[in-house]
Amino acid sequence: MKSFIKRYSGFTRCAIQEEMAYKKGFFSHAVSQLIGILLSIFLWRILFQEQSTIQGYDWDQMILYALIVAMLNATLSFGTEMQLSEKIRDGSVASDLVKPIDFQHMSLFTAIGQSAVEGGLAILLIAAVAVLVTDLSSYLKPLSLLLFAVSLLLAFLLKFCLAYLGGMLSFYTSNGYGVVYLRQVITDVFSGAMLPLSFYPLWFQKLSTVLPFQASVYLPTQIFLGRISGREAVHTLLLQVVWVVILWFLAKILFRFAVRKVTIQGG
Amino acid sequence: MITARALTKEFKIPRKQPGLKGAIRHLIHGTYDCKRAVDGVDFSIEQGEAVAYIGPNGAGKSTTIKMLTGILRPTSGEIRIHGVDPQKERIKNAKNIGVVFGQRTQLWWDIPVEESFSLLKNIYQVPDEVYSENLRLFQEIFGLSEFMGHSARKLSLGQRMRADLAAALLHNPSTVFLDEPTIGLDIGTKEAMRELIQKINRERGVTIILTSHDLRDVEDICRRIIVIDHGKVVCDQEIRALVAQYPMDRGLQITLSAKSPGLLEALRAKEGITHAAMEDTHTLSVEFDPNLHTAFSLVKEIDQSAVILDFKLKEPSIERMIEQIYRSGEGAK
Amino acid sequence: MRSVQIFFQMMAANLRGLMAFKADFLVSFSAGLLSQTIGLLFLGVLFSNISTVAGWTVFEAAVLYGYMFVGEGMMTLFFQGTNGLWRQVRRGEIDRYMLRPLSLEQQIFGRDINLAGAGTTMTGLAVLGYSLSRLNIDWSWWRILVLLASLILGPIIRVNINFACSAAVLLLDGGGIKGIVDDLYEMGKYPLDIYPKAFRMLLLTLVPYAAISFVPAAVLLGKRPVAYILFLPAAAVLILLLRKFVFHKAIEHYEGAGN
Repeated sequence: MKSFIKRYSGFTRCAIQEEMAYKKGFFSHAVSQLIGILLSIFLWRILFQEQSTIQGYDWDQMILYALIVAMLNATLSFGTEMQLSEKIRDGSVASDLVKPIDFQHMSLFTAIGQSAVEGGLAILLIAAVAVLVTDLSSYLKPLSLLLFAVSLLLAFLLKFCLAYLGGMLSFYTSNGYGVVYLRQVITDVFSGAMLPLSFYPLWFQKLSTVLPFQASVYLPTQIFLGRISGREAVHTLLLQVVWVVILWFLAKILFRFAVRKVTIQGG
Repeated sequence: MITARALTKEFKIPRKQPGLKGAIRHLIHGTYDCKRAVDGVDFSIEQGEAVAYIGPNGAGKSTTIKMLTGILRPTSGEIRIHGVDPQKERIKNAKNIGVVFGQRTQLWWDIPVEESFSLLKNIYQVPDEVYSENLRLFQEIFGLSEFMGHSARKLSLGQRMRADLAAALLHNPSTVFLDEPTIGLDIGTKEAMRELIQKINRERGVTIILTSHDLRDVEDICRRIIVIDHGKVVCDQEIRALVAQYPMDRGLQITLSAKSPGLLEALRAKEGITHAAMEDTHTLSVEFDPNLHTAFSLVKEIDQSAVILDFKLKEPSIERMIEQIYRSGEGAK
Repeated sequence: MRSVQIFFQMMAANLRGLMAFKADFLVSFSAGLLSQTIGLLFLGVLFSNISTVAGWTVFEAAVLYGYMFVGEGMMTLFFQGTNGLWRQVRRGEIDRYMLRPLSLEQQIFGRDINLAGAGTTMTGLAVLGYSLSRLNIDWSWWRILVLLASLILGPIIRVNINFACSAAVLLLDGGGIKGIVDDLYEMGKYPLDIYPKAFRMLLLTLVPYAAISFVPAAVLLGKRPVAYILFLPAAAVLILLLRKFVFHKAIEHYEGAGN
């Protein structure tokens, strides 16, 4: 385990350095985040002028929901996924294949590095906004925060698996952008990133509970907001674990097929 | 006519300290180094000349070519190509020049070569008769038709470079810039490339400016050579005059069956042997002045005192010639 | 005239290049179609829980979406080349453009075609058409004129916003100004009234997404006086000039800096 971490943590370090090298990109990423957050604040502000709750969410809960979504979107961004898919498609994955390392592990550790930088600043920003526009006091209980932290970590792993799988699907077409974008949009809907799943029609809610996407966004938000607690929260974490394991190994299998195609086409 | 006067180009390069700390420091306040890639270059080339522009890697060759073709703007100095400033009147200049970069294709990646050509025909407004005349010439020397229907993505390097050279010549440019046109090519393709370049230079009076690390390219195509190092012109001469001035030593590598005592000393004592040493226990390396010895006479001589298993001639390289130019104390003017 | 002809020839060549990947052809097209349709879902789900946003009903808000889709779709379909200038530099494509006797803009416009844009445009037109038909609009001659003008100028504005940002990225040696402006795009999908004053100004002038969607929609739906439509041509001219200026500076910078 120790040597495993040692071998792969280099990729994390490199990714952090690469991210920081583009200094203008670094700060503008944060501004970019802020714009998305502002848009939802503006929109919900208008809507809450006419009603005090929507689908059982009050102002604080709605904004906190949006902020947690923004935080998860900031870690492991669209760009990371695009990079991954391009690498597989344009054949430069071949140069990684000759190294004595596992491509999936390498990708994960690279993503951790990128997310640490991209997400690090966003989390500070989002926390600041949360303090400014909502009343957080009732949500800051140690136990639920701990559960939330674990859930976030699992959500990150799940997001990585989804992105990695999406990157590999895009390998089968030359238009990686289209596929990655489409996957992103579908994930946004089913994960609850667009709107809380309880806003949707009932049949849709049922459908989304059997899909992995909700475990990457919706479930962590529900734990933070206290809508899932106690034993139910533990079950939720277990469900997240199950999805991570399933997708992780599915990705391993699919990668083998993709590689076979790279080697046939000659990259 | 092409003239460059006091041509200078400086680049700003971000300086980064290694490691995570360095990355953070760069984020806060970046520091930059200033590098002078081309430093006061002067030359003048008449219409119809074929000039080799050579120098070691990083000497400033490509930077000069990029300035001459209008891609980069000089930091200072002046360029005129047929009286046109390639920077200020880029489009006008582009009509008169053809460019081949050995490392990059000018063709559209996903469409058949012939369609790339017909697109270029329209872009350069090439008259029909010129177009078909040129295609015939390229077909004759290059055999383009075998891959005209393929997209550039699917071509081998040799095919792609042939197509690239043809594409650069379609509109009968009066000046052609060739930046490493034969890099990585096999002998047959190199020969064909040289043949076509020679032909348009001699028969059509097209000016050729060539950079290459292959001495054969330079010898076959060019009559004049400009050597650049650290951004400065260190030599600008007719090749014939240069060869007479710096006779190039030839090298010989001989594999012996056993070490032969006294052989080295005997060789070193001779006039016209500039270098003699054992590379390992069986391999003898000799360099000699071709005006005083031939490889054949040397092999014959050594054969009398030792058993030769094998031998090979070491081709003179541009790097060695440049090295000689420095060694002889010419240095920067 | 000749430049238009060459543009279409380049486009035809791009299209043929694309045909080489037949499966991809369909994937791109349906990706464009589907992803925008799903984007609409947000609107549908939101309005199933509330009745109006700042006084705009669901079909009125959908008009804004439709306009934004059309602008985005046309840009993706025909002017994809304005997107990744930074990458084109790294691949040496800009060097190649500079060797040809055509303006750089023309070569960048003609660089690429992306069929996802066709799907997006079609979704946009469908949404726009359906929503307008559900809104009992009195189609007088000037309303038809506004509709036509907005459908032409909208994509022009969208392309130039994008192009200007791409060029700014070159000028500033990377950075996320493009990402920021891309994110502002989402703001074009909602009534301007929900934003604070500074954002309204921004969206009407410097980053005129509102001129693509809100300005014509508000005039067509009678939510603003007819004269309000003047923001549309004004924004188009402004962004065109801005784009020309930034691109010019970026190329000057590029020629100076090299790679």
